[in-house]
Amino acid sequence: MFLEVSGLTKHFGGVMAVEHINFNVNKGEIFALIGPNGAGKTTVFNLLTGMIPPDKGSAKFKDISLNGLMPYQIRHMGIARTFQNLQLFNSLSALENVMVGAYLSGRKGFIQSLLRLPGVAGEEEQVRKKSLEVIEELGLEKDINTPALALPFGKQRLLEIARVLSGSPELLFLDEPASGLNASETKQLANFLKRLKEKGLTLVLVEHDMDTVMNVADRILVLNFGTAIAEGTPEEIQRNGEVKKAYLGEEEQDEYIGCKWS
Amino acid sequence: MPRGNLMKYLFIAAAGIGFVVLPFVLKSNYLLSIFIVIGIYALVVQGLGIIMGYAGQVSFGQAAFFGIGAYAVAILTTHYHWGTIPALLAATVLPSLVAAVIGRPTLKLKEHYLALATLAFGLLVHIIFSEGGELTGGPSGLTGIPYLNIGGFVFNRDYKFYYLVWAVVVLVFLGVRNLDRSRIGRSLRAIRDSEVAAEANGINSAALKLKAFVFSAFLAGLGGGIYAYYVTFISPAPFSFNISIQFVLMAVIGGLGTICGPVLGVGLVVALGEALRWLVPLVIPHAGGEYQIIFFGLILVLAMIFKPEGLSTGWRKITDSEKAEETGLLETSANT
Repeated sequence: MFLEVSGLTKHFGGVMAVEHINFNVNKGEIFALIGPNGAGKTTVFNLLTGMIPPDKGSAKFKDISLNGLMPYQIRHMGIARTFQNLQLFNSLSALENVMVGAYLSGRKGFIQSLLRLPGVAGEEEQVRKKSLEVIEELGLEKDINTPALALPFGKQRLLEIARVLSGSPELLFLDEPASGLNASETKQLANFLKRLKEKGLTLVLVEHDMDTVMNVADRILVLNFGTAIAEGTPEEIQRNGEVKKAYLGEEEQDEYIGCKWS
Repeated sequence: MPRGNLMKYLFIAAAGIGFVVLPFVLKSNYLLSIFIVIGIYALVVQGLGIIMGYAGQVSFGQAAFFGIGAYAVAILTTHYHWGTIPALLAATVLPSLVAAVIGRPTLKLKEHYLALATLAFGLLVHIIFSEGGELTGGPSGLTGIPYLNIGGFVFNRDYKFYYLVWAVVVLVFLGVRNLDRSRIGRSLRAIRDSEVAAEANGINSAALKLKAFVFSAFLAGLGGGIYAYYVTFISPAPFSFNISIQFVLMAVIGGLGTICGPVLGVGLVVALGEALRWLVPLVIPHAGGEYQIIFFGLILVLAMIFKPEGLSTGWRKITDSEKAEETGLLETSANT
């Protein structure tokens, strides 16, 4: 199994943030986590990327346990993430941000860099080239020298995705990649996510924009108050009564797909 | 060649020539000795700039590492008659090891625990220097440190020392410049901006901050070792906690996270200190040293109000606009 999550549990004081969640992600698919605010989606991301330790449960990536690993170690295994509240390196230029994302493709250490030993310049050039390619894919090539802080919000979101892609991850967690984007940017993003999937990347997505989710996701897991209430294809989820109840509080309501919940 | 670049190279060439001929122009040994001290401090503050400006951690122990380097040379040469190269090696390795021991537990924690740890460490080391009995010479220190001697070439005159110190400063400057433009320098700046994101991108921030801290202690120790050879006599006073604060001020005033900042900051603070020693008695007759400190503080406060990002950022902006001008020139030439 590519990613196997079983019995994942996290309580904050008396609050059940995540309660015994199980799911599997197959290689090459787009898997979406949805649910009302406070359902525990970001907590699942934080647990799986080592930001916070789970109380119980386990996660395995390609049959290797992720329990107890630090965030950077999880990144070393090929798992990368973006953040709901952007975490860019604000004083670094857009290009530098993306080059930091390719940190793992570099091998040269502190002393080699200090003395600029043979190979350092070549490696730096390779990383720059790779980063420029990713930047071009996301259409940020005009902003490479702009500090991340000075970019408009939509471009900052794209920059975070560019940064994470330059490190060539195998499994990518995207935390609300469409939030703050306008309609056309959101559409572009959805297409871009599909292209990533075609390239063989596996995506796990937290997203509130239902159009995007229903458009790109292969399978969806719905969370409510920390527990999983439904899992299935977009069609299955759209027909699921439990899900409608969780979102709208009433079973009678029917036409909810296409709305945007914040 | 674009005009901006030409100006830059001319400036560097002029500065280089200026530095080389300086000992011949200066008639007074006093001024030359100030330039030597600026060079030595520049090494120490360059180190501090790495841990503060790049890794974003404050260290109040830089004078202690400086002192450990100086005392290593003093003790090893006077008590044990070590040669220059092994003594200087010890002066750099010893502070690096101590920094590794202090930094390992504290740099794993987020926030500014390093500041607290180094503060306590600085006070402790100063006490050890003062109370070290025969080994450190107690409050009166150690005398009789031999001249610095590399392969039979004896640095027994100030101008020789001047060239040695500034050659080392230039080498260290180039090293830090390499670091700044490398994967490692970029990662350190990334940690400073967002440690969470740096970790999420595969950077082991604790390990990298530790390396930066060890390197900063290495440079402080190198400066300390050279300092001991220069003054040939050391006491605990130049390694007190106050000096650590002064180093921090120099780093901040020069501009954090810049490679020219440390040298500029040291130059300004030392020059200011010396100038005030002359000027203050002219304005206020019979003024004691306290008045200098007041003026000094005032100027520092003004500097922080009007140029909080440090002096060298002005420099950065100039070079950036030059870059813009260059690209502008390139574009117009491509159009025509």
